[in-house]
Amino acid sequence: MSAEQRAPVVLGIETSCDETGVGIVRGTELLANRIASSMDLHARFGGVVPEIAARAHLEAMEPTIRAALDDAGLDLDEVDAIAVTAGPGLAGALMVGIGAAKGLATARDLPLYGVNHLVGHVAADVLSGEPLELPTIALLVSGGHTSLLLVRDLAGDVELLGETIDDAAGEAFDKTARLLGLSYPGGPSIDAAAVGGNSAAVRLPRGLTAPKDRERHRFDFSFSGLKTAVARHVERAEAAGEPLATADVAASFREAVVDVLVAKALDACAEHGIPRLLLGGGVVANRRLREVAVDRCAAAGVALRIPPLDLCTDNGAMIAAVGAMLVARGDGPSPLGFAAESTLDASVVQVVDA
Amino acid sequence: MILAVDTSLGTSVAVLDGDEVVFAERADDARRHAEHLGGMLERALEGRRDRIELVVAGMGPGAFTGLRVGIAAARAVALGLGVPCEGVASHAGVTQGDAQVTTDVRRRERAWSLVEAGLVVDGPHLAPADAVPDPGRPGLARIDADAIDAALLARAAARGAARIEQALYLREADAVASAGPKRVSQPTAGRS
Ligand SMILES: [Zn+2]
Repeated sequence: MSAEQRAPVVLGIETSCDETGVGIVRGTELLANRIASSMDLHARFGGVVPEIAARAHLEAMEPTIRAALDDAGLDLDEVDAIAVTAGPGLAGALMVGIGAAKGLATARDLPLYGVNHLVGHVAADVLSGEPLELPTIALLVSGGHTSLLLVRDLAGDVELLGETIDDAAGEAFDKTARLLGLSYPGGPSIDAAAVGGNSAAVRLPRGLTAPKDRERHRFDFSFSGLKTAVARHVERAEAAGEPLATADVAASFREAVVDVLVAKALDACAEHGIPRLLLGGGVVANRRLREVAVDRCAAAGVALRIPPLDLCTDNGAMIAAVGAMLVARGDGPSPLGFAAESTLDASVVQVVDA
Repeated sequence: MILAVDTSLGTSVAVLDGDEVVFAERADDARRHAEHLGGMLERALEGRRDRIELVVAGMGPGAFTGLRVGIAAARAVALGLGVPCEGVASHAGVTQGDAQVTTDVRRRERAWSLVEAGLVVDGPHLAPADAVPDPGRPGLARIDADAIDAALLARAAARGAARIEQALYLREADAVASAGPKRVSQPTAGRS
């Protein structure tokens, strides 16, 4: 097969948080998507512990690469390029992936692309089998980030419209679950506890949605006030000696988070005249978020895209997808001296500075 | 040929061909391991990819974040070349002779090992920086090392240094189990 006929095979490595992800794509075709999670190791701490995550990445990395190659039925000599998350994310965790990627790329003499994790979440959609329609608004929600992006061109025109100014949405779920005596991770446990609950029972704040916030924080998020309001509610019930209506609190909390996320995303669609919304990140696993997004997007005439769940959580295939796009465009690799950038800006698709 | 990588202090990469060091680069920078390593590996491997038979990783002790970069890279190079990766104690990369080797592991502590003929025979252990125990071997030199030489790690591996499977952190990960939620409201009068 000639080079023109054959789409590039790219192996992607993702270690920005607590998932060790290795994925392999051929162009926009998904060949493998292996994820080893250290989530269980963090459970007793109620949140991701960076040093524990980084230690777990180091031990999981090589077996996960081997497993992905097995799944794809490929040898390393059939891989054309390596891509790795350069940021944003936890610095110590990112460095394990970058170390492994540099080792693999130099050993095989392959081009190496250091790419943006957030752009990866958007690129994941190209692996779902349908073409990604651009421009689109993208809402990326996980335990590590809550970001609203305007994506005009995946390979070079991504604008961060807003992000959380305190906790990520997933973190808010984890912290609130602890307040309610529920298990980690908070998303699934709050979902379970909310069954049968009345989401209007407890009045909770919608962060950064007041008229005064419109100017500076129209597309930003804040969840720490919400978590504090839940804490107050729990303490008040305790002080009054009343039983806590956990189902109502869980349902009300979840509704408040989902309401703000979807309202701000649709406000961005309206403001920029873009009738398309893409969801990404692990919090997309939340059923209520998907339901509300489906209903309100339909009402607003906005086309909603939600990639399959194993492409929404942090994974290596989405990183490989970004790499494949850069290779297909003829972009050169990143210099071998690139660093982990824990606060990498969403507009930087690929790191090019050493 | 043996390729050795260590990032327990600075960044050190070397290639040993038989008894001869054919490549050695070092950056005595206690940070930026991931940055230095890419170019060093590229230069170390150029023209030698088919001839490397073993990759050796310095497994520490050292500052955790940097240490992991070299181990992850060494394992991946070995995977890429289709050769084994062997971990050895980084303190073997200080001397070919006999010494008590110590290195800074931050938090006012040093790690120390007894090295005999370039191989770690006891340790590494952790000690307060100002109270590293005397091993009770009259005449034995103490070396407070600021850098690791990957070429010495390659030699140690060639001479049968004990194989270390996991990073030598010497300390548990910093993490405190949650002690329950913090109060956010003022305790009401009479109920504090
Ligand atoms: Zn993510």
